[in-house]
Amino acid sequence: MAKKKAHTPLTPAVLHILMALSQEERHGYGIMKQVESDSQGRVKMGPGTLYGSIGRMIDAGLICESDRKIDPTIDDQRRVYYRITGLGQESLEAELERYRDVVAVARLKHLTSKAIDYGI
Amino acid sequence: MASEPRLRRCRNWYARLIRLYPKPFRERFGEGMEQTFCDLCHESVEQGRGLFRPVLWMFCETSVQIAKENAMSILTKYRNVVYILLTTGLILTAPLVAMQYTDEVNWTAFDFVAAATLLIGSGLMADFFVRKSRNHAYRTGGALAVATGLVVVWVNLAVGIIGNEDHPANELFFVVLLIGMVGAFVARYQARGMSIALFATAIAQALAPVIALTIWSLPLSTGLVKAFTFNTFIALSFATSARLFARAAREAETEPTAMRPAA
Repeated sequence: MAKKKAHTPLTPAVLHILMALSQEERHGYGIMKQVESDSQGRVKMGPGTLYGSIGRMIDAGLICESDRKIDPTIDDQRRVYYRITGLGQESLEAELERYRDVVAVARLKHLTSKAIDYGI
Repeated sequence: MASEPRLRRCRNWYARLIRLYPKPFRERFGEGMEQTFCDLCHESVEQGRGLFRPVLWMFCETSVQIAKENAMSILTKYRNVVYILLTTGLILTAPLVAMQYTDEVNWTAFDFVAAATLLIGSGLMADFFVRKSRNHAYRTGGALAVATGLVVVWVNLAVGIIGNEDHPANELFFVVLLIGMVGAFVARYQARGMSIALFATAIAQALAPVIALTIWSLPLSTGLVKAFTFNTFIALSFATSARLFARAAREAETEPTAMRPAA
């Protein structure tokens, strides 16, 4: 079977979900909270957007359901955890590289001096 | 907790809302969405922010996504129909544009409706054969038969195969197509039966101008020679389609899974 290529550019929702899953497996609510924390509250996803994106990302091979078993005393056993795949990791890296290139060009053109000064 | 019954009520309403998602999506993510909804409600109550705003926001957000998922599901399910409609529209823009620049093309509204019906009908029939089997020969045979039928009807309605479009001899060609369609229906679109039906159609097509010549005693002219040449091409096309169906039937005997409907 042909190897799938990294997907870029990614939609903001997909990028944030990949970032949230890049460090550990998470369930839906966990992803939502991580995205909110990563974006300092600027990106707020509802269950509709989150699960719509998750469905498309699973179909594209970017993430998959984890077989992680939950201790029922700690959490609901029915919770589904998701994890990033190799393709998802590649796509995330490619997208971040693309962002770095865009910022580099913007720097060269002195377009974002204030934003860069503020560390954005 | 006092808000527990309210939370349960909201969860029930949200579960009802989720039912509006397409079934595959609902079965895949319904439970997870309900759980996430509850988690967000609990979080809001624990932080003393109340339930009204987060619940309203999640209902609105999910409703928008339901509309989106349903639209995508319809587009995916009827993708071929959408392509057929778009292609028909694209083809019909050609005479529409030509009419603006030349008097030689003069289509009436009826012409456009007739052409659209023909193109859409043919597209749907070809799609039917493609969906009916995974076998390449079956699909090609079906598409070729439909395309040939379309050419016959189009030419017959536009200029007529024999003489002009008003010559009664041309009605024979509609009878030929009827033989093919009835044959296909009787054969229940099975490859072997389709092959026989299309061979019969090819023979009827080849004989049609001979019968016309006998009944209407047409004089020999260049027009008649052209009609015979065109007719031979059409008959050969139907025969090729019949051979493709015969091949599909042979392949089905050796490899039965090849004739399974396309997914």
